[in-house]
Amino acid sequence: MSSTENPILSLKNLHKSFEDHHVLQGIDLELFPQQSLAILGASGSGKSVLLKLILGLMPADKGSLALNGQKFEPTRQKDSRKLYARCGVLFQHSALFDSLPVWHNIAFSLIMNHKLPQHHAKQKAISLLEDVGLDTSCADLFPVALSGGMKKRVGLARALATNPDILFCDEPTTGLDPIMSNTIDHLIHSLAKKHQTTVLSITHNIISLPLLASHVAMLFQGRIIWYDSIDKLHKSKNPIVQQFIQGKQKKSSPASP
Amino acid sequence: MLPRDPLGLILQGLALLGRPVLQSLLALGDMVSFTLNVLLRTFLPPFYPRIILQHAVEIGFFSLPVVGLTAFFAGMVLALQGHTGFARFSAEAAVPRIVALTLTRELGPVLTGLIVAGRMSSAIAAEIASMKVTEQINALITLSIKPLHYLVVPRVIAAVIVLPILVSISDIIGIMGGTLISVYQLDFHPDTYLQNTWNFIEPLDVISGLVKASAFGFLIAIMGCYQGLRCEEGAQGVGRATTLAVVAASVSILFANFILTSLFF
Repeated sequence: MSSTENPILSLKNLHKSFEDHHVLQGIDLELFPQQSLAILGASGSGKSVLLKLILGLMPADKGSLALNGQKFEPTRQKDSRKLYARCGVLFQHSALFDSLPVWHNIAFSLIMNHKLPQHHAKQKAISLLEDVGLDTSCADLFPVALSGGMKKRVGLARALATNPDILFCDEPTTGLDPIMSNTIDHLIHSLAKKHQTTVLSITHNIISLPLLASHVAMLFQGRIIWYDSIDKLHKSKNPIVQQFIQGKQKKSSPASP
Repeated sequence: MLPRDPLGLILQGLALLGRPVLQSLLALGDMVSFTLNVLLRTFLPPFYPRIILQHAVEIGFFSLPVVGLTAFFAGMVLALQGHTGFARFSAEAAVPRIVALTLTRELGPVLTGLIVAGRMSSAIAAEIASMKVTEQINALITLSIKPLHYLVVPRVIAAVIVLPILVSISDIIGIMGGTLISVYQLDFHPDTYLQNTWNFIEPLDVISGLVKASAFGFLIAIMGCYQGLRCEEGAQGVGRATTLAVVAASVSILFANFILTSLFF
């Protein structure tokens, strides 16, 4: 996990437990500028918990994080503000604000934080809507009127509205059909390339990986057990990685036939 | 048969009693700390006047029909009951006074408070709890918006401002209800009835009712927001938060009413 460049984000020995359940047991990971890294793992492996620790939505039990080489404590308001100013987040279920129309969802940060006048913010939101392949007539709709795929697109537009350095995607294709999943993967890939954004995705979707990531980290039993470029994923000799790729259960598993 | 370890049994019993007491104290402490935090943030920027206005309309304007109807019937019932009681002492002339006094000091604020608690505390809790369950609160945080500032403070300010206005309207409608019954059923002269009402009411009667209304507004918004933000995951959590918000708001209104009445007595 090394590069000649300095990492934009690095995690060192991150631990998280819920009572007796040790979800993360010492995560070390580095994310380099303009890299697209996917954290791959089975359901319940702690992928989303890891993202919440990075975003300061949950405190870590142990370990440290650094943003551009500077240590930061994401649950501390001063530090989290620095991170949030530089990142956009695409949530698993989009997390659009129900009470606001689509354009206001997209332009939310521009209005609230950047104090952009509403008509300018709306224009910017409409141009972002076009970027994510949605018709501009959607701008005045409310999230309840959108399909799952449209919500994801709006969520992506919101995440990219402030031109973030880092884009975090939590299971970006969950709940979408294969065609829509592919469209969203393409969008993330092309928009990240266009805006030169670093992407950290959380996924269990093997099919999405080639578009979503240049590098993959495999999370298993609270640890990163494999990290390399996407090209080497299928050639990996790691039995856990192979098992995950092939979608087979362990022979010793009680659930196996 | 004697227990083998009587001391152990006593300690076990004490632990059984102590655990819920400790949990309740912890919950109370959490709620007090939440309330103080909200109070502090009320005076700190950023301020969201447009959102306050939206909530004021939601809490106040849309509660008007049910509050008005309740006050109207309460006024009529008060006049009828008052007449029944005072007729026994040949003191029917006291009906307008008792209707006005009861409405402005007690029934206006308490009935309005309870109705708005049922209508808005649950709505606030349900809205915030569903936002929490669907990660909208997390989205707010990652967009650098503090949920307390954006979701709680505007609702609290709106409720504190709007409840006294609602109570003033409910007082007027209640007195109108009492007048209507007194004139058309109890044979009062309308001018005499209203003159009696007007002459009897003192500024403190109205002010005490309005202060109570503001306090109830604060409690309604705080309980709704607190239960919404502390809701557990899932649809069941949202349901529980809604119920707890209404119960907590109603009980705290009745408790605060007693305290405030003692102060204004």
